[in-house]
Amino acid sequence: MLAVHDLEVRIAGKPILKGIDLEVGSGEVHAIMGPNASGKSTLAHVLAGREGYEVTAGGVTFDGEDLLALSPEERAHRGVFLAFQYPVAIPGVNNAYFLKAALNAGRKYRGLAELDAIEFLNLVKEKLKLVHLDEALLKRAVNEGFSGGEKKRNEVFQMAVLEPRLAILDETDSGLDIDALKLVAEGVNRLRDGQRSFVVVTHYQRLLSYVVPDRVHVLSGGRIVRSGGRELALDLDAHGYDWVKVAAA
Amino acid sequence: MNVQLISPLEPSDPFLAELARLESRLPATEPPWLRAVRRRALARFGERGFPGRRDEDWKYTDVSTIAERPLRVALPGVGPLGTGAAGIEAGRIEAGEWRYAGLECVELVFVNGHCVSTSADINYFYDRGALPERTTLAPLAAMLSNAPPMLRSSIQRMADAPPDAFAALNAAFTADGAYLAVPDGVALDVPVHLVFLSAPGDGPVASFPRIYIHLGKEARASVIESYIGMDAQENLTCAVTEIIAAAGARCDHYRVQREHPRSYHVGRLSVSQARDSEVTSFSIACGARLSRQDIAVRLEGEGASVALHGLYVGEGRRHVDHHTRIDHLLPHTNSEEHYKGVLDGRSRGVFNGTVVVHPDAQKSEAHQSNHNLLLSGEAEIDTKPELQIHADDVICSHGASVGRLDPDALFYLCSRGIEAPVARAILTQAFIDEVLARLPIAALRLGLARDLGSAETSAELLSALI
Repeated sequence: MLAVHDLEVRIAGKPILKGIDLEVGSGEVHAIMGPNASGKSTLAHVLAGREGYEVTAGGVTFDGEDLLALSPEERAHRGVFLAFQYPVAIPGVNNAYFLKAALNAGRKYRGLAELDAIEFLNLVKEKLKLVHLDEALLKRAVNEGFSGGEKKRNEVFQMAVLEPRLAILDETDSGLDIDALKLVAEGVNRLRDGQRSFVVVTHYQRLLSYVVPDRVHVLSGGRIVRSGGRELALDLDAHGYDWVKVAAA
Repeated sequence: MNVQLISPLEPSDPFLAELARLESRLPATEPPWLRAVRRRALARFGERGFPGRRDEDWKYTDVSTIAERPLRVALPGVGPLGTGAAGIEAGRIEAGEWRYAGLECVELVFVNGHCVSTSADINYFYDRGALPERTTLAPLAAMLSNAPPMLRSSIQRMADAPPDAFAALNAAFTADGAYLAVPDGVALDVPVHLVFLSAPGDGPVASFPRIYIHLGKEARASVIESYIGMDAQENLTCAVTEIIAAAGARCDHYRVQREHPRSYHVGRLSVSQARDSEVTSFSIACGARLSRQDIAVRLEGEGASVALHGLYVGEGRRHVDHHTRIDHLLPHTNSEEHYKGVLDGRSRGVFNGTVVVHPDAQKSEAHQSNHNLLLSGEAEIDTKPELQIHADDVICSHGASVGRLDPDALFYLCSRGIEAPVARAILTQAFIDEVLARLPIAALRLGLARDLGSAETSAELLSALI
């Protein structure tokens, strides 16, 4: 489904990703782990189409299509979803209105009829239960005044509504207490259906205790220095990142 | 007051000729004092002429296009029911395309400054109880032959000491407008909607409506002034509104300027407030080629408070200027002012907000903000807050900003599948909606939201379902 090959990315001329190779098949869950400043978030942003990154070599295909040639909204229409590490607060934009616009933009792309307000509300009320969010959230401005936990759950809620084919979770576990982490993980797990793929970017192993990955990749210094099964995450937790850095050296 | 009777205008001056042409069409019942007032006003105008760039208050607004063209005053009786090239078909008046859906109101309609609503139209509102018995709502023209003393002195004051050239021209050429007097303790249940249609004549015309609103003690009223351009290219509207709020009175004033994109609009709102009165003003400007709105508020009684809200939208080559001045004269007076602007294309906005806290105005509070969103690289804004504080025990604040759409917010919306132009529109609308959300009249809020292509409508409807 997703194929990243020899991807090199710079920010303001500075190399951040130095040749990434990654294959994510349909229904697979891949964890990208790594120390701070290893390039994890850069990879997530480049896949979603954020500006400010210069791809100097390699490429990314999504179902064989050149992903990097597409605008962020086109990637979303193809089924790529990024759960933000820092969801943006947008004062004055009603959450329900925003999500309805997003959902209908995707439906329009797929040639489906747009949902009217009532159909939309019936759908989102179901999805809210998935992450145990209150309906009052719909009336609030996007992420404005949300607690850290609410923001992350709102990301998973949006994912549930938009039903992407590939979800990239960028440190969705950061800043969450254990209860909030379990809620987020439960929401993600309920979206695992054997078809939908996930790239879970995280610094810590603890999310992976709840969202169990098929593959774990360790990113360090802009390269994937080690790949393995879920036990690799446990090893990292036990030994720290210095261990892989040394191993890679 | 220094009343100078010698006119510096030559007898052959085209403005004097234009005044004579207007007066020949006015009823013979117009009192002599009014004719004298018109000439004095024109003399005041003649002394100063149109403002130029050297005039600090007009530094950013060039009115030479208005000054250089011949002034042709719109005459009465050339309305929708008149004949000839001028006017609007009666059907369009009937259809009332300017109305806000679901807004219950008392409506007076003007074409090029002259009232086309009949006394039967007005009596209908009295009969239904929308206008209480002791309240007077009438076309100004009907009030002039036997003007109440307050109205007469207001007209004389504006002629003898006009705050600027356009106010002087209005005093010279006004022949109609609206008069609203609400007696002590009376509250109007529904807003009064004054609709000023600018219509094509046999060439560009200038109209000079005058609105006089007097609220007695503890009286309450809401007044909406809508200025609508109906295919009227290059017309000039020069309007003056005066609000006098007696002790404890409350007035909500809405001014919606949606003139034709090639027309000119200059408006002035002058407010005097007695003890414990409350005035709220909304000024929405989204039309005209060039528009200038002046608001001057005098807080003359303890406990008086005013709130000025504004929204201006610029596109194409529009020039939109707001000048406000609030004078805090006595203790415990409060003012707040929040203006926002959205400027696209090569449009230019000007905001100048002056607040003067006089030495006697201790324990007063004044807050001002002006936030601007520039949507194009060629749009411009000049924003200037001006706080003059001459009392030491006061709380004042001001803030101004000029910004562009937040790229992080844009990426967030687009990453969810929303097309980039739609995402930009959503963020722009959110900026606008913050002003609209403060409008207490739901029908007006929704109507304006629709006119401005805002998301407010759908978001509000959606919220109602949740």
